[in-house]
Amino acid sequence: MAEHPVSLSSGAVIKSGVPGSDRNRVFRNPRPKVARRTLGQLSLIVLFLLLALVGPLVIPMSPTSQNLAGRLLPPFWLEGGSWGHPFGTDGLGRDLLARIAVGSRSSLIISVMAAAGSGLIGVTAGILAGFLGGLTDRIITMLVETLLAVPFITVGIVVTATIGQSATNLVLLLIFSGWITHARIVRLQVQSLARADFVLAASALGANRLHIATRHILPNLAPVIIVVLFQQAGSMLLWSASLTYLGIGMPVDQVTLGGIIREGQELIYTAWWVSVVGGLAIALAVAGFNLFADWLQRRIDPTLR
Amino acid sequence: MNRFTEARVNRRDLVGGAGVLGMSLAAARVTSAQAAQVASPRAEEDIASELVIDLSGPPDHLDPALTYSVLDWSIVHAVYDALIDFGEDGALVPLAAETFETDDAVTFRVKLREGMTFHDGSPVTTAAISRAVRHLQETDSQIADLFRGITEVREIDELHAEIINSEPSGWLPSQIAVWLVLFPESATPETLATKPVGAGPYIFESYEQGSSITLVRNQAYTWGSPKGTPLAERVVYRFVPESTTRIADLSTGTAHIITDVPIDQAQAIDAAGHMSVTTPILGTTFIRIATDVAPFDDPRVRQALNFGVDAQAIAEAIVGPNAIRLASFFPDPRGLGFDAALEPFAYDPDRARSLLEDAGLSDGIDAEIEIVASSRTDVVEALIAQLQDVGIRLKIVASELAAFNQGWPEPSAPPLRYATWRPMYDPHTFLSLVVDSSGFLSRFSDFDADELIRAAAVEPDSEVRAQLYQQLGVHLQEQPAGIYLWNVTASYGVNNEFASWTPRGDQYVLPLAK
Repeated sequence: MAEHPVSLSSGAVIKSGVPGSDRNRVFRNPRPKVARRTLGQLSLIVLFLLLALVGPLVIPMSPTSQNLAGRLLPPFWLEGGSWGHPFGTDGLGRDLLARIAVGSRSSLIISVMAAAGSGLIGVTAGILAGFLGGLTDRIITMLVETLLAVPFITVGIVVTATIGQSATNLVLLLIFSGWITHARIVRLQVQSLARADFVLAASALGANRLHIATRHILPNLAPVIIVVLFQQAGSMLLWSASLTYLGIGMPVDQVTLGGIIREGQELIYTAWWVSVVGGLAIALAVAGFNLFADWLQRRIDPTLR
Repeated sequence: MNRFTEARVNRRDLVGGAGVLGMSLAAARVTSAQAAQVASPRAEEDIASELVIDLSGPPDHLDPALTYSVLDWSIVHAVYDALIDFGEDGALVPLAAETFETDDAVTFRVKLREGMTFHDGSPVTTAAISRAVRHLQETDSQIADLFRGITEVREIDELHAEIINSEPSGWLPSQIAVWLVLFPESATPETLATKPVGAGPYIFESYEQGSSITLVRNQAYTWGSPKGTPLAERVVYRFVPESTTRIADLSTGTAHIITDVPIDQAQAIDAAGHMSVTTPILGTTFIRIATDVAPFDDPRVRQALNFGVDAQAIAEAIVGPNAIRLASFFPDPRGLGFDAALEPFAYDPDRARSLLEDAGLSDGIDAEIEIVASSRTDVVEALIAQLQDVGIRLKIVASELAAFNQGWPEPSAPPLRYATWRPMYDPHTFLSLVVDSSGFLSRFSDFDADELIRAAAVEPDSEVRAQLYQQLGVHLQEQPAGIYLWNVTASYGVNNEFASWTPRGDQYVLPLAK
């Protein structure tokens, strides 16, 4: 069967979507006048990725070595601080920069895994609901609406109380909540695409549902999915840090950004830098993911250029 | 301004304090003569209109038979009076009882104070003692067994009674001071649980679940109780889990007394012009070691755990200035069984490694340690880091408080658990529940320890009991039931307006001054 030129109509159907014919232009070189904005948008995520992926390899200090005699040393820019511990030390004399780097890495891994898992389940559910409609749509919609009514924190408490704390449990908990976002967005997009001329044409030409879903619907959903995926990675990182801060996320003996903030909270009046530095790392990550998602959306959506 | 209470204990005090408690309890006679500590009633103009106290959490129970924590007891002992109370030095002092005497630790003779009334206006009579004992025995409570040895409360008249036990129970007065509080005939299970009525210094007014409890001053409580005299006409206990919020409350005047101030935040309180108060609590901090699972059934491994931690360094750096490494479970001379001559385990990593090698564990150990999720983890992390240096690799399992408490006897729970226990004026409750192999919180099994605990339980002479517990302390160094850490300390922030507020050795936060 001949491939339908999706650019004929998809741009009009999905405002935030991408015409198929533009897909090969997604990663082309930016125009000079937007280069500076691009640099600004990408610098945060690059900085965070360097911190999370390269930091643990090159920072000479140990994130877990304790020195009770050197506890609560301030960052280098404050009186009493030194470059030996650029961000200072925590209540057990552990180097904060090293802990931030390792915490960023674990937070990054968890957020990416949770976002990917959410995407996989959510996109599948959204396509099934939007494309098949009928009873399938009603069941998935009902499930989504039911889960939306369940307080996430309560689920976290129950999960922690019943099966304990671990990275796997945290990822599963985040997926449990996160797939709903993908499912709702994708379902609406699929419902729009299903009425598009090129889909109707493919159907008229005898294409079966699987062919239409995989060859016409999914490619047009990809840009939206990718953008939501990165937005959700930031959101997942924030949630994982929040749950860990509340004591229902990562195990307490793991180095995590949420854990660093929690440890620092008790010290806020005398060693504010412990929780502030941890908070800045989370802000860097979340802003980085969001700005990257914005940049990506502009790159792949012609209506936003 | 930083203030340490008079009850502050240092190493010199500990060494010099041997036997003090033995003397205080040996007579087992608590009379009004000992009530020299009785506080004078405060002048009306000295009583503030309102006192707000920030606690770190709400009480789990208000029913006296179901109270197990200082959060519970802080409310309960503000509303109720027990027959007797703990004085600052650990000696028992009369409270609702004018005298409390025994010759054989089987029969305890009580004479109530004359003229006392409950908050509902009814008189306090010996019937209240019978009522309280019956309630403790019949309630499905963790401590009911402690009172089931009482076979009879003989009411001689309205003020005189005898509490008769089936066997010598020298430990009973300490339990009575905690749990046997007096309430009127009008009390029902529902009012005990939700709207307590006692004869204590404050009258219960209202409870906003999980948020606050409000009490008002008992105008009739002017008899110079040794517990102290009320500080304010109205007292609001607020439940504020975050220490930073509690400190902010003190700084802004929202609260006047706050509890559980982290050591590193004390200077913030001083800087704000308030008082930081630190006091040693008669409680013990330890890591319980279960002996029902290998390799912890080997005493060499348990000794290695003790030699592998520099508890004194951690205590000084993180816990507080009053924290002192303990030689066993017994915290200080105010409690029965403390032995000043018994030295704590030295920090000796080489010895720890050697003991592990002797036990055939040259590759070290991997195990889990359970903590309460809401507790500070830095202390445990510091301990874990030191144990890791000797090859003992521990993984933290954080449990919610309820799950943690249920997990004490569970064989499937982690073999190690970080815990505190208070009060320890008399160690019977702790030892019989946690260390005795038949205790329902116990996962420790040692025949000799059981023998000593049970012998002390039925020994009428307090001095002999103290000696038995001291023998137990020595034995528990050879056969450790835990990693012995430090005594419990309490730290508070206090508004200068309430500088006369007196912290207690049992950590109850009562709105009283002595």
